Amino acid sequence: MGFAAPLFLLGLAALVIPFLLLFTKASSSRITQFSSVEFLRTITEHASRTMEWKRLLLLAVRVLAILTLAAAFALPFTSRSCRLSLWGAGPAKNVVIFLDNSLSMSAEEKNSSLLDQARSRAEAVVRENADQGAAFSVYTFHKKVRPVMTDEEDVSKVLAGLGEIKASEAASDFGLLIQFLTRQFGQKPALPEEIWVFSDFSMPSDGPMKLMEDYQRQTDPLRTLHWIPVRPLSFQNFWPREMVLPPRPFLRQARENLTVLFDSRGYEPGAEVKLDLWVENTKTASRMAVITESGKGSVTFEHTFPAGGRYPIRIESPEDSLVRDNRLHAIAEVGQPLELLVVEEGVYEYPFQNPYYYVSQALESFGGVAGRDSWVDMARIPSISLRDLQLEDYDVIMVADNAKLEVRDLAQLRAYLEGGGSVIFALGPAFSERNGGDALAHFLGGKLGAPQTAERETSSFSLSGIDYRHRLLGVFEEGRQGDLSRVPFRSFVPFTQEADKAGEVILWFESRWPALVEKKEGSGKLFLWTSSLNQEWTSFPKDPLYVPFIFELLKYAAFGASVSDAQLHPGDNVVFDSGREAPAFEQVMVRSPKGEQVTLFGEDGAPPPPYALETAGVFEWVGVRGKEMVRQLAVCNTDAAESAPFYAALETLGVNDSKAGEEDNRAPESSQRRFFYRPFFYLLAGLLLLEAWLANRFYKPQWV
Amino acid sequence: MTQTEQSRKFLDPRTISMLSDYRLLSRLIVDGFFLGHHRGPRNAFSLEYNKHRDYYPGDPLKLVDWKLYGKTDRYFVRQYEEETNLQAWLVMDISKSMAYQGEKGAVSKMQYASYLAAALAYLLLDQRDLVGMIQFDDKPRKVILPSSRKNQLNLILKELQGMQEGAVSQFEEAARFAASRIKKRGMVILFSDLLAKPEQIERTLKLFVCQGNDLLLFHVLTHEELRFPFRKFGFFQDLETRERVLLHPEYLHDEYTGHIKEYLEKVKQICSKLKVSYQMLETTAPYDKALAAFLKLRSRLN
Repeated sequence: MGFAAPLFLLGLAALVIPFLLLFTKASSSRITQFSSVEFLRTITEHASRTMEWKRLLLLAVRVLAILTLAAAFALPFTSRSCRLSLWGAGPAKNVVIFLDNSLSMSAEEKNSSLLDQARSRAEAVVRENADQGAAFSVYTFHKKVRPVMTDEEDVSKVLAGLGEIKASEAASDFGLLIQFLTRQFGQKPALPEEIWVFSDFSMPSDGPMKLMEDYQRQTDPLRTLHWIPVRPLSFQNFWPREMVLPPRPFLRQARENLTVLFDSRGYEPGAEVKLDLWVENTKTASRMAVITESGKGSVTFEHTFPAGGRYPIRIESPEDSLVRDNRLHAIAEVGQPLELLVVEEGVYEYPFQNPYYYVSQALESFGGVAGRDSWVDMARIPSISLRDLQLEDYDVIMVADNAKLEVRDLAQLRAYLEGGGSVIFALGPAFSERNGGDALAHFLGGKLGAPQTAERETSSFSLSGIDYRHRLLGVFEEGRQGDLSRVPFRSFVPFTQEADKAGEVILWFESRWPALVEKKEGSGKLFLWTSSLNQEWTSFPKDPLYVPFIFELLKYAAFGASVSDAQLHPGDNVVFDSGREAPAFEQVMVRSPKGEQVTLFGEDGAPPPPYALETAGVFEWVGVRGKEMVRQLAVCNTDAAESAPFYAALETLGVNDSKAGEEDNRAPESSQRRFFYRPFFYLLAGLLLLEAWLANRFYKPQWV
Repeated sequence: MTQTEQSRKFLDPRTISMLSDYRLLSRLIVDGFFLGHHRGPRNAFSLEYNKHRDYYPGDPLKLVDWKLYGKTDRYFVRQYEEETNLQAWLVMDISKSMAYQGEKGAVSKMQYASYLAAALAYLLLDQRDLVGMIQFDDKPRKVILPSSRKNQLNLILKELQGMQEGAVSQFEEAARFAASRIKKRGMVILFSDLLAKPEQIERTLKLFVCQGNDLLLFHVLTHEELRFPFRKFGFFQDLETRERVLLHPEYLHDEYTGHIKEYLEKVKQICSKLKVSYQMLETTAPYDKALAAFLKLRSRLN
């Protein structure tokens, strides 16, 4: 038996309370003079004896209650090994093997990978301990710790399990390993325990070793820890040979940053070392890294890859000494998000008047604009700063309700458009024909009239004749995302296109005035939204449809790839299809719009179980098959009105389908802790009731 | 308020305890008791004629009935029946336990007993009885031999007034010694809380009874000793031995009252067996019960 929260056992110190209470109460009790105690004692001899055992009974109940309380909060659990040892038929000791199967362990040295070297050393450990009747637990670790087997006494099975371990694509996370060790093995073991960790300890600092030393210091004498470094000798084999880039939903290609960190020996601080980046056996870039005073160096390469592909990369150094002596390394993957620039008028009395506010809120609901893996990098500038920017750095530029654009700004935007950029131009109350003038009409390729406003407050304009076959509107077909035609518009600007520059009208108002126009300008695209993107002319931003509309518009504007699973609804299952002839994924990691990650595992060649979409939004999933990773998106309907009953039902039923995946990720049942704190709480409640009853019966209002 | 009611307030120990003059308080108790009773407190007694007998030389000449000699020419002596005075002993237990007053009582058991003893001494001496007093704790402390002299009351009252609690009660031994001092048969009035085992009590009472004394036992106890009204947990300290016992009185209440009832029954049985007049007195009770018991015994002795 162990305790998951042994700190609560400190609560046992409270055991002194009943005794203190008893003695202090007794010692500080009042003294009543009486004529003859002898007489009293004689008379009450029997009663006192009865009272004495009752007091002891009460004391025992209180002590037991405190014991139970402390034990319950300390979360007691049993594991199979404990049970075995308790029944006397268990193994002599537990041997726990952690094998690093991160990508760096696939580096080859003398025709065998580091993982193979680690495996053979682990096998030696197994054989050595087999004669002593040990039980073996094998775990792999990289970014996750996964059990291969636990408490296995059959050596052949252990060796077979070790043989099946393959290197993964992920980097190792030693912090996670230490966390896992502390959580899983933090308690005093029931049996003597040996923990073996085989790793190349490939981190850019001495952190892991220090963590391990700290952990080793904190463990008890029953536990022996072995940290076996499996280190490469050569430099070039040390680097990942393949790199998989995450897909960018908006982009066909992405610039990626690769940061290399390394240790060096024999170099003076300040010395420069040359590193080369090889992609698909082609040397694509060379960078000079400066050695710091601590002997470390770093360099960042930038390279543009087609998104979502697999590309073998290699980093080499012509410096022989660096190749030989390098000890640590790492690669940081930094994605290139969609760069969205919002050109705002600059003066808004209230933040919610700014269209940027609504657009950013809509994109945030997809988890798109915050965090390391965000898809969108939003920037906002006032019109006046437009001329100082390199617009080519941005994938999409949004100009919303801006009346302060000057001719040269428009010329700059036109040049950007012709260079292949996309501009979304939205109107609003700040706009007027006079402000825009002929230059704006020329820029837009048509004439803007005076804003049309609904005559009564209750009446409004609406969209009609929506062509759902259009790529932008496909997601709204059959009202799956909601009905676009019921979105009310109070005002819009009538736009009359010039015949020779006419673009495609994607959306129409009932009055046959265009609502959304797409025009090709050079290699780029110009979109004109004749109403407002904020709430000045329409309540569209408050409508759940606004979110997918902005998402689709941005994606469409940025030439983004279509998302295959866009027709999903909350409650639907995502089936992880690995392709017609391809083997099923071994595991799939799903990331929800809230940032929660769930890993689902397939068993015996079967694909992982389907994942139920519990909320609206874009779900990202990564299927892992051997060393291959496939990234996909699953877009779930964001119509809150449609989804609300589903959420309510989930909450009412306490159902969370995503937990099914978490279950699969747990250790096998035999190694799981079986918590049994509930009986303690029940016992505690019973004891407290008994104590109250006894105290009332024995002493009535008194407490001894 | 009637006269009787007025007089009865002088029988209340609370009222009596306000007086410091024992002579006065003894009179108040006695007068308060008799006020309203038909029978007066002062019973006269005299030499009553019994018979004549022949004169023998040596008989005092004053006893010769000269009138009869004139009629018969023979000497006869008038013989009277002598009505001897009663000899009463007030035997006071002054052990430390008698100093217990309790929480409700206005007076301690000892004070209560002393007031009562003062009243009885006054009453007895007023009847020309011989009254003596013995105070004892672990041994006899004060002995005043019986006398009916005028000064006897002062002497007794002075001793009662200055009575202090003594040491640990050795009831049986002290009473044995006290009994040995009583040479002549008479009335023994014993004031005690009888905090001893029943068999000890029986042996002690026998000492007085076997000498042919008429024993009147005033068993003085406090309200607390009888009812045990304590509620708070704590130590109970023995007044005599200073021993402490930790107990919870509320829980023991029922058992205690049961036991004290049983104990009192036993004492009564012993008294009945030994033909001892027994009167249990609670220190909060008026003195009329005690005086009535005394007069009952006194009249029986007459």
